[in-house]
Amino acid sequence: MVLPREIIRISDKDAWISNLIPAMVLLLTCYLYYRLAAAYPGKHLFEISVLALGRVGGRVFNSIILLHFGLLIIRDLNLMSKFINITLLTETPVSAILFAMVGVVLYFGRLGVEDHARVNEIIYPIFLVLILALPFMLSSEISFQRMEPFMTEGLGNLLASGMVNYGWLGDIIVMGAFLHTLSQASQIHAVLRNGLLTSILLLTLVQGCIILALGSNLGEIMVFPVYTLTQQISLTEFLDRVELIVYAVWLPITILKVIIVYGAFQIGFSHMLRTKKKQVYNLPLGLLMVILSLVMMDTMAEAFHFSLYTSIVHTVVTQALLYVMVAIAWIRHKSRFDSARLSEVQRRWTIRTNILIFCSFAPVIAGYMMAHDFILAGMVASALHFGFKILFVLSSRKEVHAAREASRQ
Amino acid sequence: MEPIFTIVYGLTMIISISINWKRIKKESRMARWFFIGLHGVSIIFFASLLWKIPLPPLFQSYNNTMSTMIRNLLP
Repeated sequence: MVLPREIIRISDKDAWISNLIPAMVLLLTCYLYYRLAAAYPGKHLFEISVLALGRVGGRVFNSIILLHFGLLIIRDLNLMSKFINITLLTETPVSAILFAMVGVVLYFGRLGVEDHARVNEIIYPIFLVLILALPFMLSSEISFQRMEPFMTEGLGNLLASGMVNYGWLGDIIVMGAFLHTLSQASQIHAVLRNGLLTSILLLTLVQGCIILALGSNLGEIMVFPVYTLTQQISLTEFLDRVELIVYAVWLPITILKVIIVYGAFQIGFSHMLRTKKKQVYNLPLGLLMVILSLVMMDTMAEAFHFSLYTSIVHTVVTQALLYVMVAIAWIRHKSRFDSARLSEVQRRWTIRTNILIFCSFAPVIAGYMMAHDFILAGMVASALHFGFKILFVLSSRKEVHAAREASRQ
Repeated sequence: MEPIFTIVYGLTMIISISINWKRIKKESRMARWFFIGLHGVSIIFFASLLWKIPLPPLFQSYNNTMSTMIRNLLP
């Protein structure tokens, strides 16, 4: 929603490259989740932390993670309600929009993760097609000159914008609450990697389209550059307000994200209180979310600062805590961690994907070293980088197929 | 704050307590206290919004400090 604006401000024309660095860090989180799921089958993150750190340590860890999840929900609800209020429903009060959204979240909160996944199965393909079609729909607005010269903004800026990306991509930590939902740990490994790498490609496409269609100067000053970008879509005179179709898909997907974080929050909350009746807390939690979204980030500036900067601190702290917890679990229950094995086919595809990730990173280094002297080098490196990004997503998709085949046998 | 929000929020709060009160009685003591605490916190914030009672801006100060620290690190 607001992420591209800050990334473009920091790394200007090279903003579209910056999401690969945090993804490489977060691949470690995916790997650790796979090892945890293999070592503690049928258990979620909150149960594993108690087993690894003991009752007191586990509760402290779980409380911090739950607080982080709660803040993620409030951040997303706040930003979404403000976005809808500013762009789509200008006369409707923010509180009414919040109530409507929390109503949907609470409805899904009564259901299980399977239901969330099924709804996602319906919306996600349309969302994917719309994002993939974005460069074609914007073809009349796109100019490659807006991205030139390629790879000249400096590696320091790229790392800094990668850090801002990390604050948002770090939301993958919520998947720890669903480790018990898949019977095969190898499937968790493949699915998390595929999800992370696909989101990297989609983010690259959106951020790239903003720079190509609007230019970096406009992109960094706009409050919601993605909304402005979709407004530029003009297929024919009949299809002039395509952004409404795009947002009819985009809004449910974003609410679904809040629902999934809320589902993770509920799992942790029920585990902390040792209650099976999570519905009891559904309405009180919803009321608290509405009021905290209104009170905690009253102005747009506060919501921006929280989502763009403070989120980075939270992500770094929670990820570091997760790594420490896994390290302690590994030391304490070493024998459990020896059991993790991928099938031969999946292992082969995982290695191929890792090679492709490395290959997509190498042109960036080479491009930044040479682009100042040879403009063509930056151009070739950018093309190679993007090509490898597509290839590693396809390769990670093969990992998912291999994991599925292995679990059937 | 909009009057409609006040009415809807207040009503939802009453419904939440009345529906769940019997169920929560069967739960553990900690679960009961959490239930009461959740409503209590909501009521405090709701009252502060309704009667414009200023609460200590703890979260705002935290958010400002953290975001300033990170912004100073960024170019």
